[in-house]
Amino acid sequence: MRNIKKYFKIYRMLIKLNFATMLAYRANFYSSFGANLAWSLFIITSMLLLTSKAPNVFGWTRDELLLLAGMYNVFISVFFILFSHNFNEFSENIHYGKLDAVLMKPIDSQFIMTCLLIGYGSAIRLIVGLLFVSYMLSQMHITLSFLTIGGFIVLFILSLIILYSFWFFVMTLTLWFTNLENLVNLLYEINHITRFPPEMYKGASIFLFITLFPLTLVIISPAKVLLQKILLGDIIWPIICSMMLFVVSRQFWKFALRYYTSASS
Amino acid sequence: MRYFRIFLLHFQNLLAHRGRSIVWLFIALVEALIYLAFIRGVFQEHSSLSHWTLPSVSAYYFLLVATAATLMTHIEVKILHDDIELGQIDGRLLKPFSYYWQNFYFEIPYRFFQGVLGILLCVGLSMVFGVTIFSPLSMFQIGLCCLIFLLAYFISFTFKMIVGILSFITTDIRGLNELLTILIIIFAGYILPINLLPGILESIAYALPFAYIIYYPIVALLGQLSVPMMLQVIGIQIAWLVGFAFVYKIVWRSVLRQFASVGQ
Repeated sequence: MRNIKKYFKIYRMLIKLNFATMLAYRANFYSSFGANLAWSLFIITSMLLLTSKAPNVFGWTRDELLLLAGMYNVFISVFFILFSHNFNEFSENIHYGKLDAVLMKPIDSQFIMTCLLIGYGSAIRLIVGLLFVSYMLSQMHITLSFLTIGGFIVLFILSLIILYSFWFFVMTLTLWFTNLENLVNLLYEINHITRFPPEMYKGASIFLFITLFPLTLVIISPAKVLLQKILLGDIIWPIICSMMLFVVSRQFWKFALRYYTSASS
Repeated sequence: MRYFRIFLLHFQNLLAHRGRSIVWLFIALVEALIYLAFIRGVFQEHSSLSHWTLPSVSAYYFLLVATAATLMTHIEVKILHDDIELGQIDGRLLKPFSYYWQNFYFEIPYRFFQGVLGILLCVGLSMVFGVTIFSPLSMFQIGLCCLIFLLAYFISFTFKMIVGILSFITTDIRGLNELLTILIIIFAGYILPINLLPGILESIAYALPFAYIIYYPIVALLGQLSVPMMLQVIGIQIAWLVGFAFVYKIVWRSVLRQFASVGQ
């Protein structure tokens, strides 16, 4: 309990420090703000384009697919604010031996490697996403009860854990392959898998489907709560996958650290 | 010969970091396969759309992997990161080679390597899914296809060079680059073949240069362009290339005049 309090205190300080950094490098913030705005609009536009010739795809109506696109913006913006900037620096920290300093600190190395930086620029994406989701829900005449919102928040957090653990697991590989700094770009691309219905991967090989399965839950499960189409499996699988992936990725990180040889003298 | 040596040096560097190129290729593959997986659902509702069938659209996305890996250059990233942010530009400007060609020989090994891997991947995918990717073309049409690919490469490279050298003045082009990436994804034919775009967007795509970098080379390979259409595409590509070359010269002169560097 004391440990948790300590980490909350550290994180509160990090929020303030990151905010000060954002104010100091405003041009960088505006650039990130513009890019996030453009990408959030792109996600919606691309879904509009893909569904322009068909009102129903894989049993999902056009409105439901657009809601998924909006949900993706909301979800991914939270992920980007909290974690993605840290993963951008991940391989560089290992390649240039900065991990030495991280391991010397009396704080958990996973926490420093994945929670140090906060990307405030993605806030605009969150706003666009929330506005678009609200608009789509009103278009579809869906009203939300407290229970729905509560269920949505729980599944949203579980989905964050799934995506975080997946990214952490993959980025841990850079302890062996330090040159692969673009591995994070592959993860950004893989994120797009989450914004489409899982039915479209069913024709793929069983190996591919099992690998992609946790990712297909990320947006779909919380979205199904909003659409009031949730089934028992949509609740159980995110719980199992999030817990399993979190434990596996953490153990993998600890195992990989044994092979870290440092880049400094 | 000296240019060939520069090419070999860069190729050596590329082979030392080949893992990165393989990851870039995977990124192109994931992007194309996601869109294809979704489009399969659209074709469950329609047997054909604007002359596209499921096998032909699958061939389009498979070829997209190889074409994007070969033709879509990313020299602006190198200019911004290495030349401007790391300050390597001073040394480059002092070299007795044109800056344009220095970067050309830097980029070409990456396109060559990723292109070869992309073709292998494309052929592999077509065999696994039983899709025919190459249509029977006459020798003349193959020649025209090669010309379309060559011109597409130069359009892509010159355009990205213009974007890259703008960072001499602004020192940060990330925002602009993100915006251009989105425009390219939509209007070059990454999401959908251009003639499947709805109404006004289709017309905009034909008016922009991006379709001449990705979309037209692919449909030429698929045998969807007649010889007169191929010649028309080549004519428009030449017009874009001349236009970009002219803009590059003007921008280059302008940025050199304004460029100031602090020695290291």
